Amino acid sequence: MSFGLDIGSSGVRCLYRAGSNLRGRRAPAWYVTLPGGQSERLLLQRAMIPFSSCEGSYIVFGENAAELSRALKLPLIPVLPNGQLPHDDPVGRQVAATLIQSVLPAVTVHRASVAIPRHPSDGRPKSSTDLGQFAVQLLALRGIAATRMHAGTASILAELGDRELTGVGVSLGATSTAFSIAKHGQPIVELTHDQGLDGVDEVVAKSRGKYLFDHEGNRYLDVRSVARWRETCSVNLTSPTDDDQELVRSLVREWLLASMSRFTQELEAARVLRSARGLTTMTITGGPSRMTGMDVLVADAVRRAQLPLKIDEIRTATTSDYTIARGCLIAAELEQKVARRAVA
Amino acid sequence: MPVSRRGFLAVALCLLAVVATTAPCGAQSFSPRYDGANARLVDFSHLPAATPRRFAVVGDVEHPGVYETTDKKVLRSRVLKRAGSQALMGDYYTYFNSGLSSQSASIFDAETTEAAHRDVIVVTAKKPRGTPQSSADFHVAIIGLATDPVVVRLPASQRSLSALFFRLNQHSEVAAGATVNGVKSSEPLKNGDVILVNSRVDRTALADCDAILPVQQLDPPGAAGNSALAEPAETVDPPVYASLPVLDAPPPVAMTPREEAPVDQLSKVASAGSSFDTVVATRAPELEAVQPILAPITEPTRGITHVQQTAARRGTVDQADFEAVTPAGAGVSIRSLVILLALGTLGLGIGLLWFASERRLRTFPQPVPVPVPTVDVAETDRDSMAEFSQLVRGELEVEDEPVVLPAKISLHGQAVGQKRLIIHPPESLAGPHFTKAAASRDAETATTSRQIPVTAGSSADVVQTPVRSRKDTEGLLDRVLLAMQREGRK
Repeated sequence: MSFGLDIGSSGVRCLYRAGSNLRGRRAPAWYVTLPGGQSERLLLQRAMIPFSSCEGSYIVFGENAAELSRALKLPLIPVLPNGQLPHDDPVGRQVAATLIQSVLPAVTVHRASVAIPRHPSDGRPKSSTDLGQFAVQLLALRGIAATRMHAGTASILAELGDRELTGVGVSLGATSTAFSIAKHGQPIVELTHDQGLDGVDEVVAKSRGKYLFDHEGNRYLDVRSVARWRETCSVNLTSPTDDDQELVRSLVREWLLASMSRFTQELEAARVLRSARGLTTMTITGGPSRMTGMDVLVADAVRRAQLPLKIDEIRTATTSDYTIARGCLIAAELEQKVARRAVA
Repeated sequence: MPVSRRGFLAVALCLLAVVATTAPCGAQSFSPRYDGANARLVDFSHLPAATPRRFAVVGDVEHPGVYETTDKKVLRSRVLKRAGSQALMGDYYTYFNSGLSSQSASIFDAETTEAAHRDVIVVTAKKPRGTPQSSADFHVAIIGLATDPVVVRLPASQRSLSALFFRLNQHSEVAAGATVNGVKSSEPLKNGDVILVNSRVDRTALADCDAILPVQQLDPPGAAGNSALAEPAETVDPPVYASLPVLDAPPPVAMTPREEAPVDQLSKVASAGSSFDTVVATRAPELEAVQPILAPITEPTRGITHVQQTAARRGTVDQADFEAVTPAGAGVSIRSLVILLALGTLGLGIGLLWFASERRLRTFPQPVPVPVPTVDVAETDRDSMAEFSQLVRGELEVEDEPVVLPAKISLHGQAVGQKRLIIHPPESLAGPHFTKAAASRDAETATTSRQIPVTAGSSADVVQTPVRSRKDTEGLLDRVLLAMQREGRK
């Protein structure tokens, strides 16, 4: 049995087979810390909120952390800040490992494919913040052979089945943007740009003065409130109705243009255009892709960045949050079939 | 075709190839080899470069025979005169040429008519005017026996064609196919008959035949008439031996005793006669004219044995004509090569036969049955493929499973994540001359903050406050955004 694991900056999602259906497990990738006092302990116990403890603090994970942050004016701490493992933060690393292990299926599995915000093929040297290596080692401790998966390629596997898994995949994430070109499921080029929708939210939060203060008077940028507003107000990127939406639109437009320009430069430098000739379909996945009018802005960015591909169709992935995880699951099952035939 | 029959056929083909390749070798190897001991040495270097023209004269003449000359123009009267013809006006002669029909002409015409090469002139006198050299012998001309016509002297007791050709060491078929004066005849031969040979003759057998008169020069140097000693040494049919090279024969191992031979015979085989010294001793004055001719061959004849007039010796000479061309060492190597080729062909044939039989008779083991996947496995694969296709197409529903996050676990270390999220206010520059300005700026800010009523409400209301304190404006971007906001509100 195999499963697909999508470790994103906003959440960790796992998808595996359960009979004739798929079963998904996900958890938001943030937590809150409370002072380790007696009153906080009593509060958490009376509210029946599961919590853990560390030196001088209590830690609450998942959705409970979001509710607690909203009620107690506590900042949400990202488990994977900027899509990386936190450095010099042992508690943060333990929280990341705990979160990943919590979404794994309870059944016995032997193979997994892991999509991470930053792919090791991006050319960056391995460091202590390499999330992919961390996840693979973590799964290996449980006897699971895991392979890394680029988010763009995973989106192609998940959404371009009717095109023989051939096309261009763009995964718009919270902290990164993944770009991939694949033919028949085999990636030709995989690129990642370190800019996501969180950057847009931060600018909006700063521009709108979205801050919150803890009981000690420390100020925090309330990015979560901007994200909540963006999700609840149904921001239309093609026809903004107010200044905030206009600001979001302009920031998203600049973000996409910057990402596409960088992809264009790297494509021309990689000299893979001859292999990528004939690819006409692009799929967009990720949380930001669900915003209304995102496909229009992507098409505008492709045109303005002069992407050297003749894109005739831009698909927006389904609203499911498990799109990348489904692509990882497809890759894992393909590898499992190949391994089974090799053994036979 | 069964394998055995095909095998026999292959073997037969191989044997046939071997026989075909070894036949020339065997014929060459089993025949008497030429060793150079009994070679006849003929030197034609003294002959004139021009091809001599020969004429045969028989009939009522004193010296019948074959005459040759290198002159371009020869009248028939000259030839007849050289042969000792005493024909008078009114007599006639008949001439033959190369088997053509005979033509008669008058002696008178002989003064103006040129003799053609290989003409056979038969002089017929109304009555004989001279006595022949031997009353018991008669002469006939034979065309086709050699390249040029020859004149044969026969005793009176041998007047039949069979006897004639037996004397010439020819087969009886030659006599059967010969014609006398243009017609088939079984009558006894007579003087002046012209015999045309139509069959193949063994010309090499003529070398030792003493009945053939030697060729004489039409104009002898000393004008000695028909002297036998004045004739040149190489009197035997020259074209037959024209291709015989000059050989350096090895010294003889055993010298055969010299035989005293008649002068006539010595003159005929002067090229290799062992009694040459005797002849020279007894007829030294007569041989003075011949010395220049015989000088070149005198030295080589010392090491050459006498040619025996036996069939065996003749056979040896017969083979010498062509065997002398090929050295003995080369013959051995060629024979070895041919034998090797034959053996190789035989080996190749046997190998092909073995290969064919081996391949035909080879028995392959029974193929091991390949385990066929069971139906269950196939159905499982089919089902898995169908489910996989559904997965790729996104047709499978996703059920969200609640995740129970771990609780009551003890984490090691201090939580530093929240501290890193704190946004610190911009630090004012500290210094003695900035203290007053900073203090006044703080007082102004406090005043401004107090002037703006902060209503109880959501944080969004705070964001929408038109005037912000300097505490909130930090960084270039914030100031720019604040300016844009103010401009927009105006």
